[in-house]
Amino acid sequence: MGRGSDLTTSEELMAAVAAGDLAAFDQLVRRHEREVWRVAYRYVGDASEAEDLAQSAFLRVLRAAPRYRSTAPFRTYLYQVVTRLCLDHARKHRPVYSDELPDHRPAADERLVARERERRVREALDGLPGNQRIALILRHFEGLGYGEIASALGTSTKAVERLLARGREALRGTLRDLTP
Amino acid sequence: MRCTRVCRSLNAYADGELKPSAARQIAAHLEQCPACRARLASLHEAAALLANAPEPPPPPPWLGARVMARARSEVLRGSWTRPLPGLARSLSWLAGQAVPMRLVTALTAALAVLAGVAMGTAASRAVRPPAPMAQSAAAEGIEWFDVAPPGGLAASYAVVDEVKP
Repeated sequence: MGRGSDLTTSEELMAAVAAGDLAAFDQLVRRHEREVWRVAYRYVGDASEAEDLAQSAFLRVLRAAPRYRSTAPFRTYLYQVVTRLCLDHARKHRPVYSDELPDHRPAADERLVARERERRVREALDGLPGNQRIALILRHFEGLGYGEIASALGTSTKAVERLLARGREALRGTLRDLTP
Repeated sequence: MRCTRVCRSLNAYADGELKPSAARQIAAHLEQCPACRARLASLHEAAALLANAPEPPPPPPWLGARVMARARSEVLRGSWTRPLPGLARSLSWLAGQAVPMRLVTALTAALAVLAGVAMGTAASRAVRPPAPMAQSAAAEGIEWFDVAPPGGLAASYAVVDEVKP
């Protein structure tokens, strides 16, 4: 491994990648593959498509490395790349959720009920417009702040607030019978 | 604070995105307003619903390896070009320039190239082209297209060749 192994922050790794260090890129991929995968999978709902998206995201990062300037944290930049790919993907495909959910739940009845709730929530999310869906994913599952979501979507924090409000309202409307 | 104004900021309040002073104002309103408290509760319900979303499976173990394989092939194909360190450094100042300054730089570079081309053309015209071969041979008194110029070694060979049986 090259000098990438000695570097600590992702921003420093990106600088090394820009200088041609593929070992640094390898480290960057291993460090961030989980979050890229999570967002892509939650968005497209299919392992094969999520893998394609994740690979494309990292290759975009590689190609953009020489132009990358660490004015914002690398993580924010990475979410921006994944978000754009997800939204592009949504314009071309409808999400198809496969049934490959992890199966480590208890009793059969409970599992059926839980599965049904998951399916309903998944479909409700799937039914939202792409930008509302990705805003909710970034907020609720990735824990991003409004500023980071705004960067990822290329919009303002006020617009993010509106997207989240509409998305939540729509979810509540669709899943009214699941609320206590 | 009015309910309409509170409603506009309720999502940001629920997400902890408001400045402390604004958050305090909303909290004070919520204490007195059951309708806004109900709206806030519905936002929490939506968040609770999302907690039912299925957890994604872990990424496939080969993901990183596949990304790296594609990265290496891009590097080999040359579709990912590393910046040349010396050139990149010498041009990096350009990225920090304002757009008009970049235009001036680009125009200057274009003019320099044009001037170079013009000077090259003028210089090549100034050099006299070599005389055509026949003309130059005539000037030297040589008949290039004779089989064997008379008096030369080749003429002797030609004579010997003719007397052979």
